[in-house]
Amino acid sequence: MSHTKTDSSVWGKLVLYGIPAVALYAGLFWFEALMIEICRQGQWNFIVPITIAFAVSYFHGGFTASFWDAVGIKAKN
Amino acid sequence: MDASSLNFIDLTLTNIAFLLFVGFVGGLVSGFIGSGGAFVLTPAMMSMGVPGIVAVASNICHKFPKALVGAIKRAKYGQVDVKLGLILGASAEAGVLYGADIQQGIKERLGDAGSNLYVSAAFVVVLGIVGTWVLLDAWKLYRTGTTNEEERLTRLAKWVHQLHIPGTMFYCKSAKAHISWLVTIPIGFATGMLAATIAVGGFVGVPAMHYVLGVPSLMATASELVIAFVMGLGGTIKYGWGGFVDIRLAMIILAGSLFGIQLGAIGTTYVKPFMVKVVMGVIMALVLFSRGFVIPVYLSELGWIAPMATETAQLLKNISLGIMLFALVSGAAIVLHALFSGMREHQMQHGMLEESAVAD
Repeated sequence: MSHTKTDSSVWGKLVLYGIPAVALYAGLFWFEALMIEICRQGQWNFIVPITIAFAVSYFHGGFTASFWDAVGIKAKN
Repeated sequence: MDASSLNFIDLTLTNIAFLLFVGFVGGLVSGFIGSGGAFVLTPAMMSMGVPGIVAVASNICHKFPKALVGAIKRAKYGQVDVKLGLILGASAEAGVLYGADIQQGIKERLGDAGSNLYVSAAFVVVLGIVGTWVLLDAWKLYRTGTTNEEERLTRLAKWVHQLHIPGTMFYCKSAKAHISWLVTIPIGFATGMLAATIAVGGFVGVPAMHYVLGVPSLMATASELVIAFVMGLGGTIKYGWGGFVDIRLAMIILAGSLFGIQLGAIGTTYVKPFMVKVVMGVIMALVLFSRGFVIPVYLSELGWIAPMATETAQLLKNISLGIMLFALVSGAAIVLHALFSGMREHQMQHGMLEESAVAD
């Protein structure tokens, strides 16, 4: 029973982090030309790539952690 | 240099797949040894037609979020000394700025060939000394059959622990000793300088934390991720201000590397500390060999030796890039092997314990 509960929580996290991660990447490439232009202007626009990097690290980082958990590769206790 | 004059390349599916793969492998190695996955990315991107400065900037922009995720993961395993990482990171930042200034000075005086020669020579000298030391240490542990024993402090680390300079001491939990920041400043500075030069400060930072400060090797590799985060964030601000970051390239590499860094970090919970030295030593030796191949090319471009045929120069550059990729893949293969054999061993032990519990 607890096994099933753990499994569902892992899959839940996978979806919870995965959807925003996919949305971030989709947005980045949908607005590719705009993103390049903003980054290329430099100066205070450096905040844009840094913000994107933090957001991706949070959501995609959470997704990848859950992914290895879901496929059964876990750290030794 | 003005960013508006630079081309941001069109991405093809092959380019994306290649960057995802190199990102994954690089992340795997970084998650395990704290750094060392990024050195191949700059030349790899340049081989796709990305201008050098954009390749460096995009590489740095993927490094700090990767290091952040890796550091958080390994902190969960109790391997990170955040305070030491931040203290070293502060002086590393100064080293990065100084190292970048030196690079720029050489580039202005000797052009691209001079700058490339300086980078390659730094690779050969640093990896020749540190890499040999790390590999010899790993070999000694293996030969004496002491790979399972707790790591011993070097004489230098014992001396550093005994050193007491009033007003400069702080407690380092990973080394379980009070250490003077007068000792950590040169280590951080050298780490930053190397990061600005060859993109892998950890090749100095990790061995220095272990052999000089007496930090256990697994904790040294984990704390290196904190330094990499600090340096990467500073570097991204610097290059981002100039408009050199190609966010698409950085995020594609990050997509692959976050899978890798999680796996590499998990790997550290299954291996003996000795394996860290093996992976680091092997990568260092192969990369040293790789850079050795291109030194004659740059010497010839500078006119310091006889001119070299264009085909020969290109061949040597390709061989060098090939060996670099091989170094990274070899490191990743050792990490994966160590991870899966460690998991198997753990499952067998777990199974035997359960069997004996049932029998009792």
